[in-house]
Amino acid sequence: MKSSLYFLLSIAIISVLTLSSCGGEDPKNMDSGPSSESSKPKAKASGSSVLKVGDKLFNLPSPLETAMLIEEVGGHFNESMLNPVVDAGQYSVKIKQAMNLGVYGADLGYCLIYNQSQKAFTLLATTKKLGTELGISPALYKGLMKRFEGNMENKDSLLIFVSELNRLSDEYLKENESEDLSAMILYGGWVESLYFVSELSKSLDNDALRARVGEQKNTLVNLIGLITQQNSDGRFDDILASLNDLKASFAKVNSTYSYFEPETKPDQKLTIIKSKSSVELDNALMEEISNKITALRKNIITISAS
Amino acid sequence: MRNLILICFLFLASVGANAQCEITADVCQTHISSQYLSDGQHYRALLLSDQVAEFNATLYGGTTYRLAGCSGTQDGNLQYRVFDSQRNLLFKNDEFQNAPHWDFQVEATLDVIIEAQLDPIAGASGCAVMLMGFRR
Repeated sequence: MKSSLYFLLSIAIISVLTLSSCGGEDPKNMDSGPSSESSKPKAKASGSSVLKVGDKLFNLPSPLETAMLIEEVGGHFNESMLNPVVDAGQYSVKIKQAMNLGVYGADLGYCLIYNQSQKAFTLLATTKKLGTELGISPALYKGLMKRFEGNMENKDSLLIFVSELNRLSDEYLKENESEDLSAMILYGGWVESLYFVSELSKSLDNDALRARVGEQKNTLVNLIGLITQQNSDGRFDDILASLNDLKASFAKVNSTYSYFEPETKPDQKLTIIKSKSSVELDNALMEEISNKITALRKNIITISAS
Repeated sequence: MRNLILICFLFLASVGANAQCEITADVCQTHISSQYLSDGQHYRALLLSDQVAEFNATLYGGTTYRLAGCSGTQDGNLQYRVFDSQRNLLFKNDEFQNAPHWDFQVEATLDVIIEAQLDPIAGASGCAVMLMGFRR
């Protein structure tokens, strides 16, 4: 028995070394078309250890990206749109903590875009508390808060710090097999960003804002895919039901897409994507979506009376 | 006893894969320069040589994105291709020495599918990491 234990441990160590050492050779160019690729087996986005086949990776837009759009179209800073800062300890369930970390993260980005660095710092403290509750290393926040305090007047630096914090938090959760929490943070951030846009649209009739709402049609599909991957035990059934209801509204958005050949500039390592697209949604549909987003947000931020 | 051995095996393999992904992520992050803000997400997949990781995203008009794709400890080990929702090929990095990062200036919002796989020359398995940054 002892020898078989040594044998298996040796295999494990060899496996580890194989994984760790791969990728060390100089690459050579390979040329194969898209049709040859699509037939290959798909790999799972993996938190760490087990390779499964058949799943996908899903991207959601950064809340900062949406906040930038809001500023560009001339929206003024509106503090009343933010989730009131409460004692973060009142969100006692991990899923709720994660969703609200996403909400406060979006609020933080919104404040930064409008140079509200003091408010942003307060929100950063709230995200630190929630993040630490979720198991994200306090060291991540400690370093960032120090850098933040030293650059309060430098918006660009603050935006970089915060986007980097978000990425490192996401990496940390995925390394620790907490992809469900990572998905809930993204969910909270997405809802909050869309809430900003839909609220602003009520007072500012702007095509770009309206389009940004309509363009969430596919992002919502990605979000549903992301959460479904984490729902093997059914605990996100309620959230998925609400999102599928929202999807039914988004299905009424008229969208068009036309492919145009992209232009690649190798010297700049740049490809200009020239395809055209449009989305159309009337006022009634805009209101319908806006109401559903507001309801989702209310569900997220409400502190359960337990 | 058998279960214990299996747990030891999985644990060691997990630790090794995680360690490799961390190193790869550090390598990849250097490609998202300070001109770009990270989208705040970290995408990774453990791949064998014949596997493809599929990555679904929406790119918004008026934004320039930087996509970085890495595997192992040095650049050029990951091949990636960007398609639109109709499977029109928009870009493939193997035409440019498996460039570890590339910028995409997006004129109008579109949904894309990014497929990534290991360069077969580079290894039989590995952790693929993709990062995305943006600027307006």
